[in-house]
Amino acid sequence: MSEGLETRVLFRHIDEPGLHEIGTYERLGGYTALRAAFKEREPGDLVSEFEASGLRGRGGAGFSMGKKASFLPQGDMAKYLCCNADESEPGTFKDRELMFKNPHGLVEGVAIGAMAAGATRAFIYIRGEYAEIADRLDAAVAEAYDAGYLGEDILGTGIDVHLVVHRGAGAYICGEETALLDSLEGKRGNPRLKPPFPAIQGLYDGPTLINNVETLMNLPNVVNNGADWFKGFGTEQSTGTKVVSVSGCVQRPGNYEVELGIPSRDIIYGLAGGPPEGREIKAWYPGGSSSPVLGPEELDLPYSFEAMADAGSMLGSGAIIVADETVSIPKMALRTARFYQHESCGKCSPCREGTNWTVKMLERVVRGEATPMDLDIVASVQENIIGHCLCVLGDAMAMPVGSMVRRWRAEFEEAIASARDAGPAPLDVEPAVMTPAGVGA
Amino acid sequence: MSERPGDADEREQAIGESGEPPVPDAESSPGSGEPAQAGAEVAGDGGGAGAAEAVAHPGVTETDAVQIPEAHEVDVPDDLRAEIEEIMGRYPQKRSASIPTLWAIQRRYGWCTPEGIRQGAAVMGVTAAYLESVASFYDLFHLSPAGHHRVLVCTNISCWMRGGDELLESFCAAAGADPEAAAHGGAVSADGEIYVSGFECLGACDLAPMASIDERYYGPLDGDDAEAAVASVKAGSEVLPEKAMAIRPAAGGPDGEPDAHVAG
Repeated sequence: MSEGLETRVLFRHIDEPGLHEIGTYERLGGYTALRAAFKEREPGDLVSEFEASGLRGRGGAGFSMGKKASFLPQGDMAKYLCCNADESEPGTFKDRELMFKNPHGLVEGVAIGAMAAGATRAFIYIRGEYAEIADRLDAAVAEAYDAGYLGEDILGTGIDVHLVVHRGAGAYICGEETALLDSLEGKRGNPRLKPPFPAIQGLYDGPTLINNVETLMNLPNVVNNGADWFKGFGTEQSTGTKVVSVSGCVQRPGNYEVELGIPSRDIIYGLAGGPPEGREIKAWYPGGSSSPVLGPEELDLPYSFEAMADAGSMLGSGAIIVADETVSIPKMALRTARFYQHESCGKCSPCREGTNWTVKMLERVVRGEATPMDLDIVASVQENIIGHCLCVLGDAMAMPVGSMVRRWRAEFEEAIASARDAGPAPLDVEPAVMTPAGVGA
Repeated sequence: MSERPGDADEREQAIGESGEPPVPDAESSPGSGEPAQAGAEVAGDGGGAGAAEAVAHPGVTETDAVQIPEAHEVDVPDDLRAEIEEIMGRYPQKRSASIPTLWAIQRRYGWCTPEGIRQGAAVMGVTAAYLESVASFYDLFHLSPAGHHRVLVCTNISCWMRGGDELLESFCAAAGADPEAAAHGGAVSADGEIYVSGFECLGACDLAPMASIDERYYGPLDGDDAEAAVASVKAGSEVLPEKAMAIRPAAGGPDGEPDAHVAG
């Protein structure tokens, strides 16, 4: 069923028993890239190779990893590498599986990234909820220190890389790179004004490279096989493979690693099994809950950064959430907006107030207390959030909610009318429930 | 710090109400021209009477002078002190230790108690107010008692589609916690044992609907699982071993077979 559609690179040995232990990891070829990078390569040469590979950030923004690394100034100042393992974008669970099953793959990627960036201190900022995964990372880091892959004078090269696993404590905003830095500095996780960008002035005011887990885990493969090999996967603008998290109304939710650019339908139907028997897909988020929602018409688009952007959405973190015909779009919009309302740090007014009012208005829609004119207000609030804040958390609500109101406006109007006809009722925002059994495991 | 006087006021009041020994008031000492930042130095000139000798500064009210607790004034358990000092040593700047320190406090006392925060602040050399302001930002830190076991039920989009709200209700029923409160910030069961809370996406939509039980992930779960899990937690036995995230293979396949594309 699925073998032909998957391309397992990061997932090659993912369920190998004991992969999380250094012995197994090394037996399967682990740390050969680190040896090669530290002993045979120069930092500048590595950064060029990463840039040539076309590897784009896997956390959401999709910026060229090598280019970002090249922005760090040269010189003897203290530089830092932060691995963003705060994976909190609703629908996204790829880094969890990668880190839990292959923690050494991340340690190796972080060490190579730090060496290339000239950073002697590296941090993995992992969300506090992932305690089970952080325990694994702690154990892997300890093993890597013992084996001489971390610490001082790594493999006798004179290069130092110190790595600390830093656990967050439950705040979506800390996945935003500058909020992550504030949080890592021991503060409340509020985003910073940019510029200066972290590459110039980041952690402890030093030049800082921040990359997602999956991005860094690709580095050992690029070092081992070269940029051209990496570009052999994917499309011209979206090179490599991507671990895609598929969830919601599908029969086989889970992480699937595919070449970028394969038809989205192949991921949703071919791999994840599509919606339960007899149901149709109504809507899907292509890149986490922050991405504008697409419909069945877009299912044949290639799953790539450029195709999703051309369709007015984004690949984001590579998390597909599928809603079938039983899901109410107004209720899904409300559930989405509530998340951002809860997670807004409150620093910027458009986001703090905009998320709050959007939730209130959508609650009125679902309760039947709204008028169609209110939908115009909802839409205009979204437009007034976008681009008006220090970070994109507000935009991340405005984009999907705005897209739903525009595209499924008739359903919103119908929801208002039918709720009003039904008379005053307590707020009910439950969809038709699909039990796990009903969906099939 | 750029805190409004009112903030410091409220916090100090809250600390007072929680039964912490009151912070000695700073006394006026005319003629001082030192900047407000001198709070730490004031605390540092010690001798037990340190706080009483504190100087007031123009425009600074007494309640503003929230001081860094002096090490000798606060009784910190030796192992907690050692743990926090070890944490501080990991970072170029000691303030980075604030979240791990709060974790250590919460592990020890069950929640971030005012006295625990004061102990952490004394070791870190920051004000208790600072540490509390950090704790209050993050969802996983509890500033009030929160049971001995924690159940977080995801109610975000993917889990909601698969019955996350109903699962939260099942856990509330099994544990004896108020479902309304659990859906709005968390509730402790009537016997004070189990904290149940609806939670934002926990990053396990493949297990939907799922829950984090004492920091371990389980799913997909139904009402019977919730009942069984609560019983196991109370009995101290292994929770839902067959539903643990830890044993779940990756979706798709084939297992372990190297892809033809992959070199080296």
